[in-house]
Amino acid sequence: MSLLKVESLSKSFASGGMWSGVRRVTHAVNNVSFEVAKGETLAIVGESGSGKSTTARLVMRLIEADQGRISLLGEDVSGLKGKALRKKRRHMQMVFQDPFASLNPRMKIVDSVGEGLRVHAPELNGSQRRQKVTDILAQCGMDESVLERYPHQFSGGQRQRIGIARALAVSPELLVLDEPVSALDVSVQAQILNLLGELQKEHQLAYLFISHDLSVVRHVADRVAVMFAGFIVEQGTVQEVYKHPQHPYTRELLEARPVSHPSKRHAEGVEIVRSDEGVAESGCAFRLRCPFAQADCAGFDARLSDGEHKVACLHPL
Amino acid sequence: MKRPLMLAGGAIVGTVAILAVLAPWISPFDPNLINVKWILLPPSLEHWCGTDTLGRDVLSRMLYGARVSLAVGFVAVGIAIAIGVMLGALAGYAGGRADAIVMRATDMVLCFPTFFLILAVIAFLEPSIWNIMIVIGLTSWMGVARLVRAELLSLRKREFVMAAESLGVPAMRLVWRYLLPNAMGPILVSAVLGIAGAVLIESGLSFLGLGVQPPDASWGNILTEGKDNIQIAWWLSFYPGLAILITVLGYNLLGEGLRDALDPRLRDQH
Repeated sequence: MSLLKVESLSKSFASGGMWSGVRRVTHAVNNVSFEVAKGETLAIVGESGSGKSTTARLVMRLIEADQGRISLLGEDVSGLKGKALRKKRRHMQMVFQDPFASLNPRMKIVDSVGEGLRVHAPELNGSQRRQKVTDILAQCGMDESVLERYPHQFSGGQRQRIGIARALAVSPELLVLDEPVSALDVSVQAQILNLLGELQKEHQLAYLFISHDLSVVRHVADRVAVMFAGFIVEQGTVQEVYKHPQHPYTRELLEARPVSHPSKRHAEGVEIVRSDEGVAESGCAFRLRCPFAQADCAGFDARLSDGEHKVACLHPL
Repeated sequence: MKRPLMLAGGAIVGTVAILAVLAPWISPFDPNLINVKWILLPPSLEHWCGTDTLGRDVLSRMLYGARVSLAVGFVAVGIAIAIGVMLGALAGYAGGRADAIVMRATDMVLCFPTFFLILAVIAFLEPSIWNIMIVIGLTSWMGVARLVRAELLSLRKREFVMAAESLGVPAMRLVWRYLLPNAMGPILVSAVLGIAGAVLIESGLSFLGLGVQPPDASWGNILTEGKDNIQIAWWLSFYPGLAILITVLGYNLLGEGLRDALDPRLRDQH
């Protein structure tokens, strides 16, 4: 049984309103399905606007899905509300992208990190909670002296450690990591990624790792799902997807990735066209940008194939 | 020195507050002491701001009037902030139907010309300092409500609020510990500017005889007397008018200075 199972999740946003005349509907997430097993890392990659962060927020039930099911530990949580939902929140927690916006500037670290315990372990008294907070911060590489301080007194990397500690305080099984290192310096990125790796081993954590950085994803993930325009276009193990990309978009992404030396770049690299308008309204969303597009792509329903290495393409590479 | 105007505003506000508090000890005369030998004396070393038609010392009356102005300012704004924060928080946090109802009600109250609404209400009630405070408070919460709603709407999109939501923090705690503390800056600015408005309204009401009732002194009712004698006793209009001007200016300078100081985009300029 998988820890997290997401089936046919969809969400669209309407922009413009009564008065502006034009009403546009953006399909941020389209019929997205994936599973995360205990202790594994599934990465969701894609360019900005591909719907990966929306997917994270949908899974966390921070925004309501239009359609689809989210099951946690075999139990459907997509319809839960109020108290029942609050109880289930203990099992999944989120680490946010911007360490400068993700801590309450008016709360001491001890209170921010202890907040989850206040909700989910109300039997603890003040000093027991404080002890637990100290332990968790220590696991995240922060010592006792930080307890009485405020977020503005810390660097980005330190704040991200505190954010991780806050999420871990309630002993979740799943951490949703929304671009957890993309706002950090490269040297600090490595430290945070190592910390996440250690914590994963120690606590058997499952990670849903949202990122646009393919190098980072290759380093941390077991499996990867590639998103484009709200669709998952390819899904498989990191080795398979990186070595043998089957979807033209995945290949485009991999080739756009900076390499350590120019000589490592493919000699016959495909010309990459960047265009935000290059999203098709029907059929395969990528067909307008796809060098291999054919007439039947316009009628394709973007369904993922079955099997271990899934792809949503009529003419896979 | 950074922000000289804000400091000037703060100095004015502080001085007026100290004078008001110390009025019973520093007033040269009893503000209600009538003395027929002193009627309408011009400013002199003995009576710095002259005397009025009943021979009362204008400086002493103004010092006591400062107490009225400040009391009305603070209490009225306190009421307005309490109502505005509650309704604004309800609208901004609950959203949906509650938001629509609260904001349309706010729009409706905003449609009334406030001063005339207050006049009408005071006409039915007995004019007293308490009624004035309450009525001003009840008619000036709309700006605060809109401000708090807007702040909460934008704060709710911030990551630390989403983090609290994903931890399951209950709604009341979320509003009190996460949203309102981070909206304090704009609320404080609007309170300081609101005091200036309340002082003006109180003066206006007292000037029209619907505010603080004689013999109690208020800057507004000293002005009324000044109006009747403006050709023979300029000091009766000049000094209370100056006091109102300087006090309102002081609160406005302080409020706008605070606004700039609290706005991160303006923080490095001045």
